[in-house]
Amino acid sequence: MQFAQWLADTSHPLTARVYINRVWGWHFGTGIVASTENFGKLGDQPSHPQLLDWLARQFMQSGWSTKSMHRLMVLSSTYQMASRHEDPAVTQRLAELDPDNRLLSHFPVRRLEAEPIRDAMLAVSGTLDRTFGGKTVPLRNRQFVFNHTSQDFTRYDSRRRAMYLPIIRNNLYSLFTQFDYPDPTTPTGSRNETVVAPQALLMLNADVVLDSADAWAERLSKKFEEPTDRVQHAYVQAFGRPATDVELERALAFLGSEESGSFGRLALFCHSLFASNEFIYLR
Amino acid sequence: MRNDDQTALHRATEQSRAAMSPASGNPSLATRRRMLKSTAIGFGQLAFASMLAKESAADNFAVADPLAAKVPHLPARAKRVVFLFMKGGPSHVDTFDPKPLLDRDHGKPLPFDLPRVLFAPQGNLLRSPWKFKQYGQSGLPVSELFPHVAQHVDDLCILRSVHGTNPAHGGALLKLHTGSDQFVRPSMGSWVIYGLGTENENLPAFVTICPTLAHGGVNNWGAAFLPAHCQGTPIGNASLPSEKAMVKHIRNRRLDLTEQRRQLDLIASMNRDHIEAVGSSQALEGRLNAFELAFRMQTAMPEVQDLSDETAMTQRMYGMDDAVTADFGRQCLMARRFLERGVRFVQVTHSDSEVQWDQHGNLYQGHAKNAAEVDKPIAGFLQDLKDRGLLEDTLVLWGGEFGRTPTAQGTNGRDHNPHGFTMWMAGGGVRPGMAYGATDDYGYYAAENKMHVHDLHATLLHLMGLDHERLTYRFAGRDFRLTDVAGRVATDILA
Repeated sequence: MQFAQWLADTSHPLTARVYINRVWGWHFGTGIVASTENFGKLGDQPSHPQLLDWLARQFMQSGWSTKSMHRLMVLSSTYQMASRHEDPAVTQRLAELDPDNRLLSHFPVRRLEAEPIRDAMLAVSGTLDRTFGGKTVPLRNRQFVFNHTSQDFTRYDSRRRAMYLPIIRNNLYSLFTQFDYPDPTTPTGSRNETVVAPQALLMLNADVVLDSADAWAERLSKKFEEPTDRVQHAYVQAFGRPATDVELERALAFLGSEESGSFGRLALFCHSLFASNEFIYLR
Repeated sequence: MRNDDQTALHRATEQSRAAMSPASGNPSLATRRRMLKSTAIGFGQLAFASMLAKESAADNFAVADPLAAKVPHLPARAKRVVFLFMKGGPSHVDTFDPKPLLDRDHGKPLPFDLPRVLFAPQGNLLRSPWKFKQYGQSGLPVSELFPHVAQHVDDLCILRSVHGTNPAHGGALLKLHTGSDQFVRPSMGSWVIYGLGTENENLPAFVTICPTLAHGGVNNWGAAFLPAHCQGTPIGNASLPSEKAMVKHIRNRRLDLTEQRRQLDLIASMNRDHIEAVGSSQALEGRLNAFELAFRMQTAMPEVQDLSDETAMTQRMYGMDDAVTADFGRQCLMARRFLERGVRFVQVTHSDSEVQWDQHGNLYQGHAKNAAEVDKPIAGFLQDLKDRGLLEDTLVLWGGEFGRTPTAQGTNGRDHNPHGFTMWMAGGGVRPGMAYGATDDYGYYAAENKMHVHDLHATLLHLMGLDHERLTYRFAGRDFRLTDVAGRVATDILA
């Protein structure tokens, strides 16, 4: 109890520092102290020590409100910076001066984490189930874990938000593990961000991706008659911006008029948007 | 391995050595870690040398590939490993470790103390129902359970003094595969990939054929804190016949490859535009490659698994013409095809959807059935590796997660025994035709030249050219090893 009281005591910044550093890391990819789980002698030095302390103070003064800290960070000019300077010479110079972009001269392009990748696909396709609370796995207790039979009862086909999916330690959701979901038996301060071929296989062939693309294409085709409108709307939904002329032309050429089996060209186009870098990288 | 840039490769090797050295506070460690976290990782498309690029700032963001083949610490005696895993715990005293005193004292109590922790109550000594015979030039004894493998006894290095720490399947599997029965740790295959990379760009570096999903399951081939490219790729699982074993997501349920190619071209052009807009980075460039590799894997994997171009003679050699041996024979033949294509670490698991070698009762029927399923395929596999000149630099490891007790469980069974059991190696720089170490007179405890699972791992890494004390990865503030703080290379078994 004394320890708990000490932890939440506002007379020192330690707890708030560690926590707020993580929140910063969620938004910017790297914490102000890059080694989020190690503030000790072996950890990294903060890139902006004063900022860290200021944030920690703000955090305590706001009554330890995570929400207000999110607001503070995403409304900052640092967060709203472009990911690239328009002058290539400046870009080149910045890359020389601060190759890791620790000083945040521009927004670091970063990949979505596993859960938002899945949720974003479901949300865009209109199949995300936003129900609050409750149980998501129709399994009996002992079916959660494997017995000696290697029988796999685990299903991850629920359309609830990712935070409601079960974490079954000996059979994690493969979409999650492929996208660097950390080992749930160990606290992990910052996740890896790897790019491996099995991720591409998953984006090309997994049922959840294909089904979401189908559902999305169906909605688009019901709502819009003209291919141009379908493409434009898809771009806005997926990337938050309309397609450029070049993109529109390319998309229309891809859609053509033919149908490819039962899987329409539009669904294939939607699927391709899911697989694109822009869908899973923030800029 | 690329030959076109030896200097770069040399630099990379120096770099990887520095990164693997256990010196704490080594700046290259931190850099390497950050590199691996952010770097594009395909199945081997780009030079490891360019990992240096990021340090020297803007080298056009040349993409590094940690899977590219690396030069080991030491001269390697084996280039690749195949682990024939007999799940459940084959009995050593009934297969490769004959015990005359067990025969003589059948029915009597064990004349010394049982282990402090027992899985189940133990009865008196139970003799082996199988006879042993000496084979080959070496005259090493093998029981009637393995008449075909016995023909290859002069190629085997029989390790009779292996011991572990955990008497239950789950803990023992994890111990054997990862070195730890308490924590989630990288699999030995993952460590090998981390240290050596791979030699085939279109296939996963570490595959596990029909692995069991029980007893640690995915953690037995998982990369834990090592980068994701070190992860094993499962092909099927133990509850499926090997004929149906497939890599997840390897096939599109609707598109043929021509259609998919068109889609890939669209994705690639979108991705190139995106890179143009936000600036190049290793991850974004790497993702372009990842899609191409994935596309190629879709044809490369089924091609390896398609055994139809193997001659009838080869198929017979692996026992694929016989219903009893066909399933495991197919697994072994698949393994050979992966090995000859440069896959670094291949595991083949023998297990049905029960715990196959776990004869707490019915030892006679159970072990006879199990051995019959694997004996001929393993012999064929060894012969085939030899005929193709692969055995020389392929390390074959055979065994289970533990052995079984010389004392009886019930009337006709044997319990788990992690205190002393047999595994064997072949090829890959081990001395052929020898038995290393010994258990006591009855086969309960490892007694002579004891070889703990950590020692087994240290020896395996050594044969691959990796120093188990230098192959480290910094995580959560300290350097981790496959062998933790233990492990001794069994130098007596090196050829």
